Amino acid sequence: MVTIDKLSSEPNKCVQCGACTSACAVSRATKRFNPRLLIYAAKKGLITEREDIWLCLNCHICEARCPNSVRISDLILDARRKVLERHGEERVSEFYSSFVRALLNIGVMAFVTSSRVEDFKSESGLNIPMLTEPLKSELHELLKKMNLEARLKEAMGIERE
Amino acid sequence: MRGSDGTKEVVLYPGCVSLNKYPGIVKSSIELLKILNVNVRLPTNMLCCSRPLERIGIIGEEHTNALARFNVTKFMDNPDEVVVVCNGCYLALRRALEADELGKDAEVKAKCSHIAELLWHGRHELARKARTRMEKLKVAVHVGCHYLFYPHGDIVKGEEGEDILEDIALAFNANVVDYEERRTCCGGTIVKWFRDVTFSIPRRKLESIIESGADVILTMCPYCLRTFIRAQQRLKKLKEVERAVPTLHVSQFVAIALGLDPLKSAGLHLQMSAQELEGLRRLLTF
Repeated sequence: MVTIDKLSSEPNKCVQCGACTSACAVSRATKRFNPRLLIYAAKKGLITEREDIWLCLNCHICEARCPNSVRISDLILDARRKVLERHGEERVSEFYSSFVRALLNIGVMAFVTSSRVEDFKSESGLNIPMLTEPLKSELHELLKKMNLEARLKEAMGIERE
Repeated sequence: MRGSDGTKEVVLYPGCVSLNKYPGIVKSSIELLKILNVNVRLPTNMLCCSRPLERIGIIGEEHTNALARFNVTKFMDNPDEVVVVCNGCYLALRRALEADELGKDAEVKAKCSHIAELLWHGRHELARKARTRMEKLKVAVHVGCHYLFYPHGDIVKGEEGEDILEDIALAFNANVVDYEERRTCCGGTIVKWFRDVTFSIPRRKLESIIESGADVILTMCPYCLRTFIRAQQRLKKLKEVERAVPTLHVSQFVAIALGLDPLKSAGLHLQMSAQELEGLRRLLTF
């Protein structure tokens, strides 16, 4: 499990060499993103204030290039999670609530939208059932146990609709 | 686990994108595992690996791990090995199955492998059964970041070539072309509201592939495959390219090499235009 304690020492390993930024595809695409500066912000305890945490691809090339193996991608995901937990993030619910809804309702987030794909799946014996009762209830029990179900619904605006 | 006839038994976890968008990837993988004398079964029900939610920060690693454990015990009958066809599923399931909290639990014993690893191990055996000539084919390989830069352990490295996919392509006598952006991300994992800002990422990658003269892009991740297909559709609309470079998942590539049906087994018609399919057909004479 990734805990805050485990990650909290990561920024201190950074020597600000910039190897992460020079390898980063997003940094080449836009000046708005610079992983070296994000780690600096993390060191100062300010990473959750940064808008650019949302630009990361989470591709891990920065970690592969980092001479000190700083877990940059994990730090950024941790910051995203904290932002969501603390004060929500309207764009996340705007763009991703259908994902969460689909996970809660049928268990998958990408579904068939073409009759040709449907036919191919049927002919190939690939119609694996989605979640139905009682399996759906079991999944919801698990999510409740993790205190996740209510949080997912609230964060995604599903409860409010 | 070995079956009564000595064959290896695995569960093929198909992943949402491959199962519901490009099912030819799943069908090819099943047929190839059978050729490799592996006994393969599918999960009884489909539950997402949940990695997309973790990537956005909606859930945490501990939640992904718990869902993986639920997935493996509830829908896969707790096998010895789970084979995935997607790099995102690989990251989520392998990390979960090797995590301390699962490792201490004797109930969950499965290890996670990528289909590309099984094909890589069996590449010479499979190549002996090849029926389609690949000598004329120029291949641009894209391993995909969540395998290439897997952050929680070792991955299979290339022996004859630079990486696992180059080795597989070489085993079937295809030509692997090098290109400037070979190790960069496809850009598919950007959060949705920044898609336009960062379209230059797949564009740059695809320009580099086109410049290399590649006939096909070879990948082992359905999500990267989807990104290449969609980005090229957009480039066609913008009239920046005339036709797309077809993208193949490694299972589809090997299936075609072995002479399996490109439509009924590999499902290529579900991911490329008739024109692109015809171009590939002429090149490979299948």
